[in-house]
Amino acid sequence: MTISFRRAEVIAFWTVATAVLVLVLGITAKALGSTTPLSWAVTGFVVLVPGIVSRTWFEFGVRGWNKGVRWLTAAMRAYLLRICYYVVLNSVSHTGSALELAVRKGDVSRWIRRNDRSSEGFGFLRTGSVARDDDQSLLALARGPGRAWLVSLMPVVLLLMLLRDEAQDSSLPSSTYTLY
Amino acid sequence: MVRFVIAAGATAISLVLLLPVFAMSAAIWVFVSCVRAVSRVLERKFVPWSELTTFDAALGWRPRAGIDAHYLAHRDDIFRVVTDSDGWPGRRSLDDSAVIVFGDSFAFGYGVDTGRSFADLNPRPAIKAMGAPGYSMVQSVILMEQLAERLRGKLIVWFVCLENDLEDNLLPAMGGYRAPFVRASGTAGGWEIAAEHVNATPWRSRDSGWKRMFPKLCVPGPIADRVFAVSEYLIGRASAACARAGAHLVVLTIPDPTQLSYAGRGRLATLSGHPALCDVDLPDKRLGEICKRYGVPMVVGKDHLTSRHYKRIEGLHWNREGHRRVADVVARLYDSFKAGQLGMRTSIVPSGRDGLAALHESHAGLR
Repeated sequence: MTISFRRAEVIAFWTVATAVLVLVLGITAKALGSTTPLSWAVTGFVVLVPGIVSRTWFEFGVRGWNKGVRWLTAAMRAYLLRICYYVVLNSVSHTGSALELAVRKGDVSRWIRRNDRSSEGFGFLRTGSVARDDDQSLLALARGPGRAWLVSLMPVVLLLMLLRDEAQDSSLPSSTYTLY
Repeated sequence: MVRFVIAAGATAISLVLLLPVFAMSAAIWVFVSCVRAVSRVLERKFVPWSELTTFDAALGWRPRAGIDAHYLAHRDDIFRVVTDSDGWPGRRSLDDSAVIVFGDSFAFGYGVDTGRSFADLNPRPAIKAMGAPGYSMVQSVILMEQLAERLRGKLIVWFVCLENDLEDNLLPAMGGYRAPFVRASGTAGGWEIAAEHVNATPWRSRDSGWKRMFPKLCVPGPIADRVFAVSEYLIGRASAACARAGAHLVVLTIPDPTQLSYAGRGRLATLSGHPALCDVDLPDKRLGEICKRYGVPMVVGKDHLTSRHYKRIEGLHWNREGHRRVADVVARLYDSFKAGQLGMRTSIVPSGRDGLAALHESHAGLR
């Protein structure tokens, strides 16, 4: 979602941003009953004027966008995860868990022995029909018995992919500055 | 089944609650996609940097010969690179050039189009840059020795980047590229260039967590002692090679941007581990002492460059203004060389004073 400082991307950013601004101003003017919506729309080009004086202005615009998008995506991720936890997972949790987390008579701990119960609980991520099909996607997991509810997580997963933290994706070691 | 029904109901509620997030994400995604589409139309096609370099048994790697292509500089932009029949930047031949510049990415002109680097900004003197990104001082020495016969009567300017060249002299690889390096020779206090490990296979040892040791070179200590001992060995070899060839060697140190700002100096002091002992001029001072011992003139880059000569976002290489400044420094060095006034520079000039003027004064003093 962030824009790089490459010349082409900076030019493209300002081109699209100005076009959007012109469009929004024109439509707003029209909606408010202006008789000269075109004149209002043209004022959108004013946003480019400081760039004539100093090209740093164009850089500031990209910086501002990146900062805003980083803040917004972080906020949206947090909101999304809260909704997922409190609304979806909390509701589903009332139907019980396949993990058998309750302490049974004679148990000394609630640790689950992985070898014995690999097809239950978290074991299904590595073994069972899913692993045999060599497909560990959420949809594939949902195909298993009693896991159809996992489909309800799809919108959340898709949104999380869209709002992923790009700083983690693109971070490079500080020592590699030239060859790669 | 009960779980599925409950989950479906909960999802319906969450979708309503997430509508603003969907709308906002979609709007941003459409905007960014439009920006990317427009930029793809505007931007030149570029090739990965790995396709522009080739294996060299002596140097580790070198730029491919006869290239005319575009590359994407790290954290920067797309630039054009043109190389000659040997792989060095520009089409000018070594024999037609009066000044030969050896060094790393700064000499190569990394981060500017070939033809717009310091080597091409002034009509005279004709400058041939011989360097590649990632080179240490070791590769420069190997090149000077390889090309000694063709350097006769020329001015040799050696760019020494303080931030990484000094420590890279001791490292057997740059990322995945094997590189010749300097090691203790086993004879009393001697050093040698090790190159038997250099081949075309990638170097497997990961260095991604490696921190640059430049701050440690700004305080006295064993790390700095070893690094400057190796630098002395290399400067001695380069000086001998140039003397044998009848060429005139000048060292030009390239400061790290952190040395050029108040905040940067503070950061260096903290990272050095001994803020009270930290002296950002120390690397120049120690190199100056070494150059003095070998009779090699040295220009302290810090006297000529300021932080506005470096790229603001990329933060490591020179911008156009920086290349212009260095082109002028090299031109003035050449004028001094032609006039027989190229002397020795061994002290740090107080800020505000012209370093080259001081260089001439110190030469006059020597005479």
